[in-house]
Amino acid sequence: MSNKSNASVEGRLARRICWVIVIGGFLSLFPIQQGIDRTEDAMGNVADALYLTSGQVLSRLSLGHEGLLADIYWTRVVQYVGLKRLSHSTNFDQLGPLLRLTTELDPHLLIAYRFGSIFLAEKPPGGAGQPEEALRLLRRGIVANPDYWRLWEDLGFIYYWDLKDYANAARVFQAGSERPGALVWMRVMAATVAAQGGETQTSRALWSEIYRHADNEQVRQSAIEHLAAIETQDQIEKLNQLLARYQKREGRAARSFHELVEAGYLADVPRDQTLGLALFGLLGVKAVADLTRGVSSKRSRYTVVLKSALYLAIGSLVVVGARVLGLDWAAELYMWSSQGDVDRGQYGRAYTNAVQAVGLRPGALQYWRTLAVAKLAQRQFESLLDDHLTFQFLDGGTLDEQDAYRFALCYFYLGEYDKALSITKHLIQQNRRYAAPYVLQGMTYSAQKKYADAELTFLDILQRYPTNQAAVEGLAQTYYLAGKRDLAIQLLDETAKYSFPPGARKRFEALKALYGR
Amino acid sequence: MKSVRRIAVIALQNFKESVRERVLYNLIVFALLLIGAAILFGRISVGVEQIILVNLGLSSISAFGLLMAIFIGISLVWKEIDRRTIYSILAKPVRRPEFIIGKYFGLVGTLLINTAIMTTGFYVALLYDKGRLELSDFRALGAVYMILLQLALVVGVALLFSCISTPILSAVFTLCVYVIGNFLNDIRWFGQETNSAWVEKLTTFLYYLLPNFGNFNVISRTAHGESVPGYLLLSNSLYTLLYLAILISAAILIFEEREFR
Repeated sequence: MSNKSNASVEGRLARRICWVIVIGGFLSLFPIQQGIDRTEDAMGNVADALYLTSGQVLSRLSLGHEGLLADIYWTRVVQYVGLKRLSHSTNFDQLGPLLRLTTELDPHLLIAYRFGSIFLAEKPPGGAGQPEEALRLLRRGIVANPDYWRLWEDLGFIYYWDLKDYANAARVFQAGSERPGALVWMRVMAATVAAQGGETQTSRALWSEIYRHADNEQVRQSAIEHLAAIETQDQIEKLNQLLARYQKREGRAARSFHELVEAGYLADVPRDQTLGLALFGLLGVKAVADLTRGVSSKRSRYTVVLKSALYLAIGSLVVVGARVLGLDWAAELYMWSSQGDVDRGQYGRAYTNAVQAVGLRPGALQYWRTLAVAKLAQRQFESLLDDHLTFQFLDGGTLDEQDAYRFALCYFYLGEYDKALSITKHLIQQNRRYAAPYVLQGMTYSAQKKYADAELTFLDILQRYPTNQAAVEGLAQTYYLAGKRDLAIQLLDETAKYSFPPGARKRFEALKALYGR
Repeated sequence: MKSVRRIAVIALQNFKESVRERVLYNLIVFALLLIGAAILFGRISVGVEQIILVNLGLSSISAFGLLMAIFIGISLVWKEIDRRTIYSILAKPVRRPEFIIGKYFGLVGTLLINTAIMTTGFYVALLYDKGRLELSDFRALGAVYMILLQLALVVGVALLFSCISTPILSAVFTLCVYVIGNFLNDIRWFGQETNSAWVEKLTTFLYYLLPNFGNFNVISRTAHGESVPGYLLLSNSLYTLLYLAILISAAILIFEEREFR
């Protein structure tokens, strides 16, 4: 009896211990996992890696299912490019090897050659900016699929657009035109590119042809956007030429369209003569459709109401014949769309919408500014600098401080530090409360390895605005680059005294971890 | 004629017994789920929606068919010996070769039905994805036929090992033969690359001796809309028939020599 009783007590005790372990264990897991997450965050992301780099080995290991494996790798390519674009990363190191693996596993997977070459050739941030790698991929595709003439078209396209090698582009178009089933258009392109490589007309013909024969909605949309961009680029070029001629003859920049008219360069102030009410209606409808893209399904009811209201408003405007007002509205809608696209990180669409707005109202500065923001987001620095004269003209001869700051940013990213500094110094002199030029100036000095000047600039702005996150990071980076690692960490420690948003704090911690290593 | 009837009876009994295996249903359900999921996989890629559907669908039929062939095939004979039901069967006027052939056809019949179910699932998924089926979509049936030939050969190998060994070892041996059978081209290439006449002869001998499962790999081509050439269907059918005759004969020889006490 006593033994039984002891056994029963021991059993109960064992059960209680087990319960304590189970509950205590689960409770302890929580902080441990949090600790692991924090450590991993501080360590940063693990670099992309390919563990198997030979398509032939993978093909053998697949035991006859290499087609399925190729599909999986192709999906991985798509996800890889998508994630890089979402995170605004410009590092596409694994794209080439992934595409090579995909096409080695299935040499007839045509989409991998066609889209893969676009991903590879497109300049960052949209793609890897590796046109040579794209050429290699397409050449492999042509060897594996000699009768598929579209790969020749893509090859010629990369020579034409990305490498500006018109002689080779013409040669490739000609070779492709001799493939079975090739459209007559290829031969025409070969002749046109050989005769007028680099001209807008040729680009327009190329994109028009792609639009007509695209079997994929994304490619068709891309062609529409490029055609719109070419159209506006033409207008911008003509306007810039006029302004340059005016400046050369008058010795100063024109301040308004009226001055150009008076000087005989323009017959009249541009009034969008080609665009009528019907066009406004169409553009307005498209702008409304673009506006509501990406809206979650939860809000779709409100979206339908909003869309209906906007369509009704556009219809009414058309009916009453409010032509000028309608065009303004369409331009405004494009501008709003562009701004929303920038917020959502859809820079390609932002650019296209901004171009449309500028196309509708080329005399309105706000649309040019929207276009400038989109160009900056797309890192089209040279293109933005080309618009310098237009901005000067529309600003009335003197650039607005935000416009000037954008140009300084372009010079900085293009490595023309002296020009960037000249603008920032001027901006600081004009308005000592405007913080952005200080930060840019500090960064420029730092890039020039003038660490003492950079430190002075950052300290100057931090005395005024101690919670300027960019300035704190810039100064810490300057210290770090100057070899004063302790000062960098000390500065980041001192930020604890000030009120910074949680995102900034997280970034400071990451920087501390980096400098501490 | 009586012999054929006895084989048919054993095959039918074996078919009924195989169909009762629960694991079979699980495998079919899993295969059908995977085929259905191919529609979703296509959505996260670009431009290869249908290729993924065909590749994944046919690969599922092949892979799950292979699992069924191995895991049921390995216990075909062993189970009868282990349960001692073999005594009551052989006590009846049933010859040992009839027993082996009947067992084989019973399992092949099971696989035929299962493959038909999975193929129907595949075409339902294709119909859902495309909205309608075209004549060219039925080219995939050529690949399904090749998969069936492959499975028939695997069952033959499993049956042979089932007469010799325990289920676990039989499964390992069958899987090894299947993997090696997929690498036969590489094995022969390796022999040619060594520049040794002796090694080359050995690898060439192995190339012709072992079942070449690489012959049946046409899924990738089918996914790109190509049909399986008629000569390939015919020559692979002849190859399978011949190899099966060898395997079943070898199994009968071994089974004839076994003593049951």
